Order: sequence, then C-alpha cells, then structure tokens
Amino acid sequence: MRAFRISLISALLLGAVCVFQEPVRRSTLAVLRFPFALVKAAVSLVVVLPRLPSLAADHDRLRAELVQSRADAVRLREDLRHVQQSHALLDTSLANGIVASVLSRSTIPTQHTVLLDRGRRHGVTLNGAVIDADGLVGRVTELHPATCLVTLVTDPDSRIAGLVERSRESGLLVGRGDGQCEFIYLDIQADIDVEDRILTAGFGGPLPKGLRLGTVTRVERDEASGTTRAVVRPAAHVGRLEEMVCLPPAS
Amino acid sequence: MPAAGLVVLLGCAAAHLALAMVIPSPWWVPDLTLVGLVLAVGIWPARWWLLSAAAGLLTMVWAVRSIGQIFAGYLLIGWAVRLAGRQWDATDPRIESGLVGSASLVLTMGAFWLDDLWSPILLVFTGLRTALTCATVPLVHHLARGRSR
Repeated sequence: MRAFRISLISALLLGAVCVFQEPVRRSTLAVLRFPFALVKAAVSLVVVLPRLPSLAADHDRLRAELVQSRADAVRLREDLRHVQQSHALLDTSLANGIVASVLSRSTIPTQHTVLLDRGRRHGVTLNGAVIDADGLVGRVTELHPATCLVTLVTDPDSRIAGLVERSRESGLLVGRGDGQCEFIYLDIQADIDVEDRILTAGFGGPLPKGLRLGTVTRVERDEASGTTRAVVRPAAHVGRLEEMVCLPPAS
Repeated sequence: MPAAGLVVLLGCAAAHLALAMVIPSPWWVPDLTLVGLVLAVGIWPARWWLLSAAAGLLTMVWAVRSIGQIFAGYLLIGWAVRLAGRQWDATDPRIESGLVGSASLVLTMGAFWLDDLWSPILLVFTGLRTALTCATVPLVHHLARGRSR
C-alpha cells in the first residue's frame, strides 16, 4: 500500500513537472510524438515520391513565371513613368495649342496635305506639330497669314524620328503615300514586333517627345542588308480629319 | 459659247474638291480637275493656255513640292489636248476618255518619278484611279454639253 502511494505521488509529481515545466513538457511530447512523425513521414514519402518529376517541372515553371512577373513589373513601372512624363509634356504643350479646322484636303494623290483655317496671325508656327485625339497628324510645312498647309505623316516626304514604346528602339518614320508609314533604320536584331506602338522620339527637333505615331502591323527583317523595317498604321485617322491642335515647337 | 469651257473647268474643280473632303483617301477621288480641263479645252481650244493655267493653279494649292512641275504638267496636257483636237474630234466622249486616261497616267507617273515612289500597291492605286477618272467622263461630258449648248 505504501509503495502504491509512493508511486502515485511520484507519478503526480512527474505529471506536474511535465505539465507546468515547459522545457520538460516539450521534450516529453517530442519523444512521444516521434513514432507518429516517423509514420507520417513514411506515408508522405509514399504519396509524394510518384509526383516528384511533375513537382520539379512545376517548380521550374513557377520560377520562370516569377522572373517574368518581375520583368513585367519593371516594364509597367517604366511605362507608368513614361505615361506620366508624356502627360505632363502634352499638358504643357496643349495649354499653348491652337485648335484648327480642316478647310480642305489635297486632291493630289502623291502629296498628302490638308489646309487648316489657322495661320501665322493666330500663332501657328512653321514646323510645329499638328495632333488630334489619336496622335500626331503631321507638321506645318507652309504658313500663311490666315491658313497653313500641313504635311500628313503618310506623305512620302514626311520624316519623323520615332521610338518603339516598349523596347525604346529608335528609327525614322516615313510616309509611303498609300495611307501607311514605314519605320526604318532599325538593325536586324531590333526589338520590334507587331502591335508595338511608335512614339515621337523628340530628339531635339520641333516635335515634342511621346506623341503617338502609330502601331506596327508588319515587321520585315532583311538578312542580306542586316536591317529591319516595319509597316506602321498611323495613329491619327488621316482620312477623317476635322478638328486638330497645332502645337508650338518643342523647346 | 467658249466661256462655258471655263465654267466646266471650275465646276469640275469644285466637285473634285468636294469629293476630296468626303472620301478618306485621295486615291479614291477621280481627278475631276483633269476631266474638266480636257473637256474645257475641247469646248474652247483657243484658250487652252488659260484653262491649263487655271487647272494648274487650282492644283498647286495643295502642293508642297514639285510645284513648278505640276503647273508645267497641266500646261503640257492642255497643249496636247489642243494638238489632239486638230487631228480628231476632241469632243467625242471616247476620245475624251482616252485623253483623260493618258493624261492621268502621265501626271501620276510623273509624280512617282519626281518623288521616287515606285511600289506595286501605288501602281495598282494608279490604275484604279485612272479607271475611276475615265468612268466619270461620260457623265461630265453629258453635263458639260448640256451647259455649253
């Protein structure tokens, strides 16, 4: 009977130590849980082992997606910065812009021009950019007191420095005379693709930077000459022009 | 009524301008100024130089380059129509159509040569525009004859 009491008291003391002494309790539970952990690990191994190859593939894919997402994030931040910059530029320019209407359009198919009802008297300047809601329409090439003649971006004589919005590749946008433009002076490895947008480069010329010029519809790479040229659909609907804004030359 | 030639030319030029305002591409606008010139010289051949100069000046409004060449082109066309009128009946719609078609091709090809523009699509556009311009000759001829009587 005495031995039983001693055993009971010892067991209670041991239990109290295990319950109230955190380090002892943790060690005890670790020992007690070890067999269960072993069994669980064995089961997991049996379940996971057949899926190991696909998991490795998933891992690679997720890593690639992560890298792509980080690159996208960088590009989007750059785009956002660029858009903010362009808006600031355009707001400044538009504040000084002169709204003009089309008086008439060229009847010569090889010379794409429009006559506007604003001229020198209204503050229009020679070589200034003319834009509409969609992008650059052209440049003022002849200035008269009350009117001005604008050479459209599709005219074969039109030459505008531009860059690809996504990759910042720069080149020259020239008119083709058939309602489309070409983006030339690109090397064979130029990073340009269909649906890329072309903006004005504003390399110190009279045109402000960041005006939309058009969208790439076709890219042709010529291995022999080591050059790339892209066919560009103008952003402005040059066949449906009504109201436009004449901008002052960029400073 | 010789002055009717000038009326025909100016009427055609006005119609040309109106069409250019409503049709998106100048390639799809028939060259009514040229039609007017050919018909007007047929009506009033003695003043071919006046009519040619008027047509050239009207077209020069839109030109930003090769202005002198455009003016000279219209003068040459007026002179050629005058010469053709001595050989054939320049008031016959078939002759008029031939002259208009030839003149349209010469003017456009001349512009291609001056601007160094040679592409298959532009040649197709030229052919279609010439055909479109020739197709308007019977209608303009009908209206012009009614006016000149």
